[in-house]
Amino acid sequence: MFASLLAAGGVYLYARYTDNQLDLAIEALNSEIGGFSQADMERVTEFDLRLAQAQDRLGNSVSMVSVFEALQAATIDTVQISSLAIEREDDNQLLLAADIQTDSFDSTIFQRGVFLRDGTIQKVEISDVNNTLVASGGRGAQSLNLKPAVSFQASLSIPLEDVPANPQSYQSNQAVLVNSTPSTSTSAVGQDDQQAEVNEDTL
Amino acid sequence: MSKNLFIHVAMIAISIGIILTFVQPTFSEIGEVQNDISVYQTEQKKVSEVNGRLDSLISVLDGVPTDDTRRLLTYMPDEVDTISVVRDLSIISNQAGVAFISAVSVGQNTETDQDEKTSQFIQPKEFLFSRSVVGTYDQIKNLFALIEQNNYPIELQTAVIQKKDEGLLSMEASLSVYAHENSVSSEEIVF
Repeated sequence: MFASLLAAGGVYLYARYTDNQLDLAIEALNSEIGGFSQADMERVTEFDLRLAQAQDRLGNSVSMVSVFEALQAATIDTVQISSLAIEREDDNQLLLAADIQTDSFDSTIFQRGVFLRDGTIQKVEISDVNNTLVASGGRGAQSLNLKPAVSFQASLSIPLEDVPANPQSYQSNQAVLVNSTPSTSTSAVGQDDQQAEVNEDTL
Repeated sequence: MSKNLFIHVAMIAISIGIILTFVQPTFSEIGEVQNDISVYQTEQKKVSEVNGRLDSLISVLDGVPTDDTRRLLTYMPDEVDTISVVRDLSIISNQAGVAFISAVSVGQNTETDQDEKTSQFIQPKEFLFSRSVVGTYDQIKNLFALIEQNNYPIELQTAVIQKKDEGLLSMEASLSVYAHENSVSSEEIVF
């Protein structure tokens, strides 16, 4: 009997102690929650999101100069592009549709092969192949000279990751580009052109 | 003899009654309270970690150089100033040497692509500009080289380039400029 009363007293005191501990734990949690700054959290998340969005656009930025250079490198001498439509398909690829004119079917077939072998250009589709006569030489009626030509439409695609913009290279090139005349910007391209038998005056 | 036995039996019965009606339930309550204490302490630790992480991130944020912050705000501004963009396009065209025909703000692109619909990532606001220029091939290439070096992204969406007389080309282009989209509300910050 005495032992059970003693046990009851001890249990009662221990229950009071644990209740007190619980109050302290709740108070400590409330104090910690009170130390949280909502404004700071919004500042951090806003900055993080802005940085992520900037990183996303930067990561998906494309060098159109690289696109033109890839097209130049994959265009043979006897080919002339009369119009070019470029469409960016989200952040996946660039779709190019070019109206192209050549002097023969052999050139057309050769051009198709060059496109297909090109490492940058993907999914080559040649369509609307037409054999026509085009005027060449002077504009006057007396000097009008008709010659056979083959025209066709080429649908090409270039993945964005194959033509990324390289912002780090711009700082060194910036002064040169801003101060250069437009014709000087192709000087570096010319070396590649000679090797690949390309036509600089594609358009 | 029988009286003593009765007292002993009564005391044992009372003892068992005390144990069953007070000691055992109180022990159960103590166990529950101890569990609650453990939960509160765990939560306090988590909140403390969040606060500590937040403090360290604020320190990092405050340590970002002002120039870098300014560049980031230029690259991904809160709003796109359409007049400034048209002015910048005009300046770039002049530097590239192309004949600047027009640049017009078309407005905000509200269409969302399929990737964006399935992604949790909040895409920036996109503003479209249409632009017409005339120039040589090299000038147009130089134009794109300068656009790529701009302090904020100007992305080509569509372009139609056509041959004109005297070695000139005309280009009709649609360009995108971006602004920061912050749709994270305080209700979305969940711990």
